[in-house]
Amino acid sequence: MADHPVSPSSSKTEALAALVSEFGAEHLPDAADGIAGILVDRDSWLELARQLRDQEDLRFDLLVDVTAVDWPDRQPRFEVVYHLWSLTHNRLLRVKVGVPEEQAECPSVVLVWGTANWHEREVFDMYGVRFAGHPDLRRILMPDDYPYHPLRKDFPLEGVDNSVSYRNEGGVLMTQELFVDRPAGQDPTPVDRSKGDPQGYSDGAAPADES
Amino acid sequence: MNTVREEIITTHDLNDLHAEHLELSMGPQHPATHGVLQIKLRLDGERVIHADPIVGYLHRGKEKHAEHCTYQQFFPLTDRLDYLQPLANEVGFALTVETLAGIDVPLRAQAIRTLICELMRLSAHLIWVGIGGLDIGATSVYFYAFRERESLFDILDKLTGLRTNQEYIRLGGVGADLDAEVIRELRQWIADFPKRIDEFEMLLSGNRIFYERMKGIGRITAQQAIDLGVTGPCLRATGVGVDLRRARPYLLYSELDFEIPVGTEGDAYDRYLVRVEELRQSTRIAEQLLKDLPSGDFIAAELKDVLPPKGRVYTSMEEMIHQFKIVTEWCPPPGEVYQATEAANGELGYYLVSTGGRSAYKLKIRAPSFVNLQSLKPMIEGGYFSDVVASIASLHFIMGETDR
Amino acid sequence: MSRSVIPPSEGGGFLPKYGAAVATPMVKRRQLNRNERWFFVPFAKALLYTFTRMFKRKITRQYPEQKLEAGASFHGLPVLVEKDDGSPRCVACGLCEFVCPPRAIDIVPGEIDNEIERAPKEFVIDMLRCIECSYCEEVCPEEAIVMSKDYELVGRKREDFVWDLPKLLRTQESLRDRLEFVRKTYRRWDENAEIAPPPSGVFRDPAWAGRERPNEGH
Repeated sequence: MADHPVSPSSSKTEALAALVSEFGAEHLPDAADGIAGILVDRDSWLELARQLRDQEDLRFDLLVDVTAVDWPDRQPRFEVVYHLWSLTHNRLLRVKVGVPEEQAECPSVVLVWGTANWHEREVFDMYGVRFAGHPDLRRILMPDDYPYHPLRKDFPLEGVDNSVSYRNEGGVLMTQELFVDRPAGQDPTPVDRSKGDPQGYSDGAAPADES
Repeated sequence: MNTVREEIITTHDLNDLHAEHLELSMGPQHPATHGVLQIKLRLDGERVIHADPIVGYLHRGKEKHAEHCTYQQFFPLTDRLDYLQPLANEVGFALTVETLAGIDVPLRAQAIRTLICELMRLSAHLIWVGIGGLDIGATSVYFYAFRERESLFDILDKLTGLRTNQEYIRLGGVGADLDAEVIRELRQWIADFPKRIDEFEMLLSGNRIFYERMKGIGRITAQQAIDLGVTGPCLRATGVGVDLRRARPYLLYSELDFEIPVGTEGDAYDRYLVRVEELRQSTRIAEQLLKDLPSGDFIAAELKDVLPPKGRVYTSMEEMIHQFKIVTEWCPPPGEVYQATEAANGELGYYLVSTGGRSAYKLKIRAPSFVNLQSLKPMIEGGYFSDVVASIASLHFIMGETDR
Repeated sequence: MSRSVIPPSEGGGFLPKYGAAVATPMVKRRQLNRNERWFFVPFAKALLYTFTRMFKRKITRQYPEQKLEAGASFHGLPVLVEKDDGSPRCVACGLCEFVCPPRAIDIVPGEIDNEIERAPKEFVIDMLRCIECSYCEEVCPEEAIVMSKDYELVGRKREDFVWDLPKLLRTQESLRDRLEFVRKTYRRWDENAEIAPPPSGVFRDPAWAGRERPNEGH
């Protein structure tokens, strides 16, 4: 039998507790998978991320996954969820950062973990959460000119007929209104992309010049 | 490699459009990009000075679907993530939901799942050997790898009823039991397989063309790999022996005897060697499991989570109502869970958030190919254009999984 | 903001400096020997290997002439089982329609004049949507829909693939294999099932006993 490393031990160490109290974060209740979680304020998240990676007792050197969860009835609406893995100590940690809908922006951790680049692009693509300081915040899975953020809860599963309308009323729209009944026999107006993006198109609520 | 890149970047101004840089779009319909990957390359002669992989051509919105179908209905969709190892994806998803719902899986079902995961790793690595060799120019090994895969699929066909995309894993166990005939054929296949690996190595390892096209190509360091979140054989090729089967054991892996091969240089040749050695180790695991398969049930006898036996459904009203309730109303408790398994390409994780409904509130699939594909950029930038294919072949990503 | 990278490790990177890593064997990286550098010997060996394959057992089949012999566990196209009087066993409960992941099944229930009271007025399976997952068979409480052995699906237009009741109904006799398999498999852990359980010790079959197994783990 080969020698086994320690099985993933709980991440609730003293170093983590000290960091949590220093940055005013809070512990999350125990999850079914036994992974410790903390809830972090987005203003302190970047600095906390650095500490999580660099402190000798923590060393969360591998960012496993970044995603977001949309809670339309909650405040803040979005929850960006990071899963960290310390290869050094073989521990897992879940970090949640709340992001309100009005200013859907979160600090980018690309400078801490390089892998966050594509993960954050995906979260931006799917939820419209922008990452401040991201070097290249483009859509990744959906087409570049796609006007919606499809994993938001108010986006219908069937999709919306965006061949008809590229209207964008005050930021994001994903409502049933977009199921426009097309007059019979009339083809949708072809969108001429040679002269730039269709009119009214923008990525989301936040202005585009921030990234 | 880095010094070459910096030299190029300093001698040519990238913003100067009159420079002799060539913008080349490779893919999305390129036979060597393994699906629909597009790479926008900027070339300076034969040198790649900038690469931008573009994904998303195969996006099917699986995560959105997961929010609208029952847990059982999502299994066929996981099959089509990494379509070279469909059952390993199903096992990962089943483990996630079972962790959340607290279903105990019988020992025999766990053994069958472990065996299936290793067979899937064999099948996926066989494709790697075949297609990887084909990309480099070794045509014949492609046929031999596919021949082995074909005979493995014939056995899986007898077990699960289908050759690929089997839909075989159920919550609480597996769909059907391993019968004696399948076990006999699998033992035969596994016993023969080490000889086949030797043949692949005979055809590839000592082949000068293959060797020189792989050696020193697409090198990344361990630090780079960890920074980019690379897992699986590509990480182990850089010298970090991290494997979830050992680091965070699941199923029966903590009781099995196998080794984690690691490379030294982190180049394409190391990735090839690591995968070939993993073929041997997976064979060992399958052998151990087949030698002494635990007896017992192949699916849990938990009446609140698992469909009741058919004999009772036909005769008893309560069981029939139960059958209806489980199919239409089964739901795990509210909560969140992240569960990862070691797929052929790396860490395949599912992050599941449930609010107690009969479909997931949120499912995130942490696909190894998606994350590993980020390391393509440092691999090919600064190298020759003709080595791009070797890097892609050795990295091995599945676009069905990348785009989800 | 400058990029701060973790300092590279000193010495061999393969050592388990990481707690999650295990002490593992390195794969052997070798240099090409003289023969391999000259290329002729590996070339001849590979050619010889390919040549000898000509006399080995063929794995591929000559498909239209040689059909696949499907066993009882094979998932072909789903079909409906008919009773002895030729009517479908189906009672139009709609469970298969619900569970079908690609939504290939479409049932219109109707009423009939006997003690069962319900039967499908229309039962349609779109075979182009069907993924042959056998979930319908697994959930059916009446043993009315099973996977057949048919795997050949041809037609000239899309409507040819939407099968209705007359096309779907099969006699029990033609599905005997599969029905027995279904009863056996979905018996699960229930010992009072109608089919006797397989004899114990079946998984240690004598054909394997005593054979040499290389590289044995334990």
